[in-house]
Amino acid sequence: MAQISFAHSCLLYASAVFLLCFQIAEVAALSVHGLKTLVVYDKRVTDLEDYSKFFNDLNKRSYELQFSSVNENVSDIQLFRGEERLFDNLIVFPVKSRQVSKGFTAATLLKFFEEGGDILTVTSPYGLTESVRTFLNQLGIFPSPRNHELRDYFEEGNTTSIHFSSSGTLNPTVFSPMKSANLSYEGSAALLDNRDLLIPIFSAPRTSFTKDPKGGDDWTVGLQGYTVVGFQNLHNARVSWVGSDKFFGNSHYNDNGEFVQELAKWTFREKAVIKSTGFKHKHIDGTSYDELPYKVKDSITYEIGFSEWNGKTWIPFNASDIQFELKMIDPYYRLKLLPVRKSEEAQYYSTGNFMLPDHHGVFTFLTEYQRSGLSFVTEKDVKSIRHLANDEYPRSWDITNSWVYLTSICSVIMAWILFVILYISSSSAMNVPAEKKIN
Amino acid sequence: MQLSRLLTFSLVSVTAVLGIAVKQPHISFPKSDKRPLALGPITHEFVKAKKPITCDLPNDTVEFGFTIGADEKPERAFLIVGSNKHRVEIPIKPTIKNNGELSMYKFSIAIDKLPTSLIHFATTEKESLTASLLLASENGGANNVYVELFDLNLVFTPEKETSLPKRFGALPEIHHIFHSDPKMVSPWFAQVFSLAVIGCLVGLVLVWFGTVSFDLRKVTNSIYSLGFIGCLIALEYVFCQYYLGTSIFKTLRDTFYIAGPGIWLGSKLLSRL
Amino acid sequence: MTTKAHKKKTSSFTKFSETFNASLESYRKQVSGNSRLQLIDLFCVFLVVVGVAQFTFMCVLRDTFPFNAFLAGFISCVGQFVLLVSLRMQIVNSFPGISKERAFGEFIFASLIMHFICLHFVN
Repeated sequence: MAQISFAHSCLLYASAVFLLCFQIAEVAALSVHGLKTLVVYDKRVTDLEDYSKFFNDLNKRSYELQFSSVNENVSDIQLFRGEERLFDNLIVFPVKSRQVSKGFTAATLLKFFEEGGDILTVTSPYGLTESVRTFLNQLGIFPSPRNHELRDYFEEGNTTSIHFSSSGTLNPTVFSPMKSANLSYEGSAALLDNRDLLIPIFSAPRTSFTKDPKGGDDWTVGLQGYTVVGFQNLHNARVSWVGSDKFFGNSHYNDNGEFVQELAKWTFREKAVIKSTGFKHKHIDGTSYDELPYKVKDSITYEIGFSEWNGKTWIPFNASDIQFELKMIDPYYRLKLLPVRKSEEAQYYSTGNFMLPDHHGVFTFLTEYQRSGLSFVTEKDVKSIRHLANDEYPRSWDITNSWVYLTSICSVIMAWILFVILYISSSSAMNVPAEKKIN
Repeated sequence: MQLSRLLTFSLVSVTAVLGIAVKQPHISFPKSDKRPLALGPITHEFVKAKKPITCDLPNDTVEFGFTIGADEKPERAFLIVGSNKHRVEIPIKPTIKNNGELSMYKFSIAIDKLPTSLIHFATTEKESLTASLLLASENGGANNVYVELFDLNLVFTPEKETSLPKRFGALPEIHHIFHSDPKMVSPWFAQVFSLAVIGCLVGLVLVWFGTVSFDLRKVTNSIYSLGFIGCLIALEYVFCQYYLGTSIFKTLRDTFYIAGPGIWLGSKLLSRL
Repeated sequence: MTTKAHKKKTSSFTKFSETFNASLESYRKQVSGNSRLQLIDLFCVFLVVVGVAQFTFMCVLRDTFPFNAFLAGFISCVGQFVLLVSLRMQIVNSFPGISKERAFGEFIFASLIMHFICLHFVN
């Protein structure tokens, strides 16, 4: 009896766990990783009420937002408990104070980012805390110093805000507008390092510059400055930076809303996320490597599938610039992958048939698809290509050149046999040694 | 209503006409003996110089200068040199000389100080760089000017090979180049030489039989010599079989089978020779 | 002067032809009646001709492919030549402690091995 009840409770427990898992999966279905989000802000510069539309949109997409102000319970702002990352996403609004807390330094931000946390940083000329600045500088984003403002004297009226069209986006993968909107921006601009991991999204207008209130040199002039910048690390975690808090405000939400939400979607990996569904390479007759290892000049074919996350499910990913490389230190082949077939989840690409090089060695079968704005996909397989075995070369009778040499050997052997016969049947001379002696 | 519209219109036109009084805009070449060029008056309607300025030396310098009333000095003045297509540009600050009521602005474009990306676009990709002038003051209104002044063509080959910073993107395709298959001579040519070799063999045999004296009965009469020569032929036959594809193990076994009696016969024969 | 030089030249030429004739004579004497030496020498000439033929063939093609076959063919000639010369030396004047018969046996043994190697190497 006791055993039965124990089994029963076990079953109940298992089903509860199963249900829980299912629920988690349901909630997490929006982004490829979790939705637990920490919002760090400073009450002195940010009134959350002014950003209600932005946060409402996030709430509607079932983000779990936790707001922490740096003015109270600073010790609560912890990104990690021990080694465990507590949040999936982090939104940092402008923070006026120089330091925030021991749990919120540039090093912890970097660690959070390296371990797969996504960060949306919003700064303003009056709210750029040291930890955020150092973190951004590590990525190669250099926001203008405190109190420097992005100005454009060509703006109508006496205003510190800047306007630019949303169709001027520098990275259509991150954002391509449905209809062109006039974005309002008020804040700072950043200089960028020359790195391929940086993703410039909007630059400052041509006629703008970043003004030092103390009359020093301008931080940026014209297109040198950037207003919205993204960054994706090699683990596909993303950071974005916007130098204006008012950019997210309710007052400009009609114009900026679409872009702001798309930026959040991109940063928190709801869009522009792709993955490989696996690759396969084989002989053209379908024999796999395990059945018959490759040798030089074998004809093989390579296929790989790509999926894209559309916010709900994985769908086939279409691109025309995916490349396959066959490498041994240097690439021997770099081939464009062409779409061949499609499943519900993935689009498959193939190299078609190609002949392995006439070099033997350990080769890497590599598909490295890295495009600015999309998550990075690297699929690698190391396989050896053997040389011809000694019985796989053409035989000498197949090569006309060697007929002469072959005939020669046979002639020598035949002549030799005859020589032996004749040698035995002939008499040895007696006179020679005597003559030699005389000499 | 009419009146106010008229008023605003006249106001706008007056400011447009007045604009900012940029005097004597000109381009000079301090490092070469090219003659300075005068530009038209700089207003909003300024049309970019039709002929591009060409620089044929890597260390050339182009100077753009103008004078302006000391009381009209703009708050920001930049000459911006860059590539419109690639959205890469660099601002150049002026050196300002105050001479009583006039201020003389001079912007100096030192070609060797331009960023390598711009040099790359201009030389390797043969793109024209554009120099634009930005004059702006807070609340400057119509006095603020942003116009393209002239194009700049760099017609030299840079000393060091230029390249652009690395960016993600598709790379050029690579196809492995195979070693060419070895040439095969036409069969008849090989046959001619083979026949020549066989001819030599026949010649040798004929000469042997023709000139050398021997007694074949010596071989045929002796069972040992017959056996020994049979062994030799058998060995050569085994070798030929090996050449035709028999495995080395079978070949070795056969060789030992034949070699045994062969050595015995041979020693018998040789001792009688 | 010229006559002297001429004389010297002619004298050296006659000297050379005399020496040549003498050695030819001694060679004839050595070979005549010794059919084994005749056999060996004719075989050697044959081998030289065949070797030259192969080399010429390779030169005409201006291509060493297949090099292993060429080596096998050429070495069969050179090796057989070397073995024959060793045999000949021992027949003419046998090495101390090694009888002519043993020399012939060794020659056969070495030749067989060489034939096998050549057939192996020609592929």
